[in-house]
Formats: sequence, structure tokens, C-alpha cells
Amino acid sequence: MATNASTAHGAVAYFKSAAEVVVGVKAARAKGFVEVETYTPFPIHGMDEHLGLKPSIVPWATFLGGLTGFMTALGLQVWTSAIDWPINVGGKPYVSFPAFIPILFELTVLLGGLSTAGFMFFLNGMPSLKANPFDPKITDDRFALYIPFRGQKVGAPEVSAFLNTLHAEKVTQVTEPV
Amino acid sequence: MATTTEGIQLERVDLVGGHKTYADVTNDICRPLESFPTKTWYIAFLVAVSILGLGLTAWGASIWWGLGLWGIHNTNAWGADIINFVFWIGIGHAGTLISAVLYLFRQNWRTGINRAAEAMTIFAVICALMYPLGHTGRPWLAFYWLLPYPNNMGSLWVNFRSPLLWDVFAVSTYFTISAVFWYIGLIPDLATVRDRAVNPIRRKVYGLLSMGWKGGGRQWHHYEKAYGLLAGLSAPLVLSVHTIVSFDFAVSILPGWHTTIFPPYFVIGAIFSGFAMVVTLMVIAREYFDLKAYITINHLEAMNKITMCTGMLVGLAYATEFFVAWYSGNQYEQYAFLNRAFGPYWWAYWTMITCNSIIPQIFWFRRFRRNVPMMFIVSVFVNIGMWFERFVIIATSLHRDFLPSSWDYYLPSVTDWCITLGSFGLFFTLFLLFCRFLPVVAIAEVKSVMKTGDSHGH
Repeated sequence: MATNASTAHGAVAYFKSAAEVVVGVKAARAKGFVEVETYTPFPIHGMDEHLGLKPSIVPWATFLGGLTGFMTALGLQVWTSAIDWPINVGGKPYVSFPAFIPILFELTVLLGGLSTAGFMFFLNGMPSLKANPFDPKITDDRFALYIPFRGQKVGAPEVSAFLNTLHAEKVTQVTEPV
Repeated sequence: MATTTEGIQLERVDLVGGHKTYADVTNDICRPLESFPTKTWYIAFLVAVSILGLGLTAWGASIWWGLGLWGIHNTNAWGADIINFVFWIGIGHAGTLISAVLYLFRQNWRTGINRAAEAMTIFAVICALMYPLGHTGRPWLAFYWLLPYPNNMGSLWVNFRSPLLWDVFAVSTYFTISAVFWYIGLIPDLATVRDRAVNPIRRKVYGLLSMGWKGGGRQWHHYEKAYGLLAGLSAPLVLSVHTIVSFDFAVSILPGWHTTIFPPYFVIGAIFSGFAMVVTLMVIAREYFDLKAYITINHLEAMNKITMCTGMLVGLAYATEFFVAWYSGNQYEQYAFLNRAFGPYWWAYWTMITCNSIIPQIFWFRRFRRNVPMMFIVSVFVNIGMWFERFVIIATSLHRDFLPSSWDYYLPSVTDWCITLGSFGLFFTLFLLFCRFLPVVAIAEVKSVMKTGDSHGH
């Protein structure tokens, strides 16, 4: 166990249901383990609270992207229509704001949406070509609870011992980086 | 056990039939991707590709010899191309409505159909985009005319006060955001396909497509937030797109087009036709891929209710147009509508009324709402009706303008019909490829709404 633990990065317990992994996460956090992570085939309602995650900062990207889109559309339309080459179209004012609203809206949504997606990928470390050290069944019907060894108050054997108390289907050590 | 703050949840109806386990869901949905296509698929694909080939030939001829091959003339400068553009954009709208709006309203039944409906959106927008680009005559130069970019003519800029330019931005934004939304939804399922792959090349390809998704709690945390935000952005976007498409007409001064009812009328019509197309496709897909446990008769019934409701709203819009024309006291406006219903195009108008406002009334009866062959027939009629709606709006408003000496009659030419058919070929070719290579049902989302997926433990 000791030799194993020196090369291993953490230990993982596999469960057959979402309810069991939720119980496991709560127990692990109550025991004082940090950086607890789950791997599940679908998002589990309330898991962010159980894991103690702060609200996602993705909405900031949406806001800033949307704001950039809005300002770009406003600047582009006003500058091209009224400053760079003013053209009288049907006697309308050069800065005919109502006519600019559709493109203001569209560019706001376009950049807001693209920055949301891009920032989500960035936060999630995607794209990534790293091999997944976990059982491939976690995208099918297995629910994993992972506890890294580094940073815990107790040693690796205690982490594994704790996971063994959870009545998991199996508990293994993870030797590859996560 | 104490639950989170979402309040009391009543016992839910099981959205997935047949007492499936999570592994069953994965197997059922991945099976079509992991086996060789059947003879039926090859035949369908061959038919679709042949029709696409016919369309491409007609496009080639139109580009080589010019748009004179089309039925359009000085009086009816817009014809089948714009009809098809509006038709296909409309088809696309149901996909976004199902994926984004039903998501925001927490309609969990959408999980069975949202993937295929979103795919339908993207393919429909691709079909739609061909038309305005083709109508420029030199599509390879179209981007020089459509997008604002610094050039050595001044710079001479595009006209930002033109609804046609708003369309460029609206449709390209719609396509981009729909594609991103769809792809993000696909990532966890692509990871599922990757992790099941036996063939190393297959594993590599799906590994690249899934971008290294692991399903971590922190990943899901950001993922769900981003998904919700994209749904929130898509919902007003879809309303804006058909609104702007309707501005192409409403902002003009032509009687029959120049009306303030157009934006809601177009949006409702789009939802109506789109839901009908979803029913058409789902009825075939659930039969062929044996997905009856995921796309249940309850899903189809819910869609039929929406079809009937939007059909009646469209009918209300038709009636309102006539009322407003009468109430306006404007003889040109009145003539445009009388001519629409009783003029030379009476056959198109009454085809539209029959297909859109009368036939869907059959869904008042539960027996017909839950009858698969019946809903298939109705959905096809609705699509025919909605194609005719755009034909009626475009052809009848243009063919008799203010000056009787320029009155004319428009019918699509053979080339127009080939291009129209060809877009259906393209649509079905893309859809058949989608069914072969991507999971047609959102695996992760279905699992999350299964009864066994309830994690609260109460």
C-alpha cells in the first residue's frame, strides 16, 4: 500500500447510483477532505452545493462578450453610416437609431454566446488530449468519487480506507494525473 | 433527508418508457451508430442524395446561364427562392424553441426530442442560406456585398438601414449560436460514444470531437451554467430572427406586406411549421431506430397540441389581416387582400387555409393526437400549407402592384422546382448522416430526467 500510495495521485470509488455518490461526497466533505471531485454520466442536481463549489463565473463572459458585441455594433453602424461616409437613405437621419437595433441585438447575442461557450471550454480545460484515468463507464452508468492524496490532512492509506467504508462497487488508486 | 431549495416536487410521470436502466439508454441510443447501416438507410440515403443532385444541377445551371432560368420577372422580382428561404428558416425555429424555450420552462419531456430537433434547425438554416446567396447570382462574391469590410471604394459601406442587411446578421448569428448550442449539448454524448468505441480510429475521432470531456462535477457545474445561458440567449434570438425575416416584407411599402402584424405572425407560423416538421421526422426516426421508449406517444401528443394551438394562432393572423385591411379604409390594402383570396391565386390561398387552419383541427380529438399515421399525414399537410403561406404572401402581393400595366402572373419555373426539391434532398441527406454518426437522443439529458436519476434520496 505504501509503495502504491507514493506513486498514486488519488483514490476513486465507483458507485452504481447518483444517490450513493451524493452520500459519499457529503461524508467526504464532513470528514474534512478537500478537492473532492465526482465524475458522473449526467449532471446531478445540487452537486455543486455538495461539492462546495462557488457559483460559476461563466456569466461574466456572457456579459462582457455581449457588451463587446453591443459596443461593436453601435460603433460600426454609427461610424460607417454617419461619420466615414454619410449617405442619405430615404431622408432618414444619419444616426437612425431604430434601424440600428436589429444588428445591435444580433451582435450582442453572437459575441455573448460565443464568449460563453469559449469561456466554459477554457474553465473546463477543453479541448484536452490527456488520457482519462477513470473507468470509461463513467460516461455510461457509473458514478465516481475521486479524492486526491495531495493536500489532505491525512495520508493516502486513510483516504483509501475512508472510500472503502462507503460500500462502493469498487475502490481503486489512480496512478495517472487527473 | 433535507432537500435543496427547489421546493416540493410532486411525483413525476416517468418520461422514459419500458423500465430502462442507464446502461440500456446508452446501448439503445448508441446502437445505430455502432452497426452497419441497414438496407433501408442506404435506400433512403440514395434517394435523398439523388434529389440533392437534381437540386445541385439546377443550381449549377442557374449560376452558369443566370437567373433567367427562374420564374421571376420584373413584376415578381422575388419568387421561389425567397419562399424557400422563409420556409426553411421557419422550419428551423421549432428546433430552437424545443431546445431553448422548453429548457427554460423546465419542460423535461423535451430531452427525448431536442437533439434531433436542434439538428433539424441547423440543417434547415443551411438549406435556407443557399437561397439568398444563390439569388445574388454570383454566390462566390456574395460576402463582398453582404458584409461590412474596409475596401478601396471609399470605404463604401453596406446600408445598415436595410432589412436585407439585418437578415444577414440575424441568420448568420442564428446559425452560429444554434450550432454552438447543439455542439455543447453533444459533447457529453460524444464522450459516451468515445468511451464505448472498440476501434481505435473511432475512439480517436470521437475523442477529438468530445474535446476530452470527463464528466467531472466541476465540468458539469460550468457546463450547465453555460448551457442555461445559451438557452437564454437563443430564446430571444429565435424570436428576433423571424421578426427580422418578416421585416424584409413589413418595412417595404407594398400593400399585403406593409403590416405591423408580420413579426408575431411570422414567428408563430415558423413554430407551427417547425413543429410539424419535427413530428414528420420523429415519427420516422422512432420507428426506424426503435426509439419508442424515448420518443413516446406522449411526446408526440404534446407536439400535436402545440401544432394545433399555433395553427389556430396562424389562422387568427390571417383573419386579422383581413379585418385590418377592411378597417383601414385603404382601397389598395383592401384590394391586396381580396385579390389574395379571390383573385388569380385563389387556389394557393385556399390550399393554405385548408392545410393550416382546417386540417390541424382534427387534433381536438385525443384519439387522433395519439394516432401516429394520422399525425404524420397532418404534419405533411401543415408543411405544404406553410410553404403555400409564403407563396401567397410573396407572389400575390407582388403580382398586382399600383400600376395595372405592370400586372403579371408568377409561377415557379422547372429550375425553381428542381432547386426547391433539391433543398429537401439536402435536408434529408444531412439528417440521414446525422442519424448515422451522432446520437439522435440526448443521452446525458435523458438519464438526468429518469426516475432513477433522482438524487435527492427522499
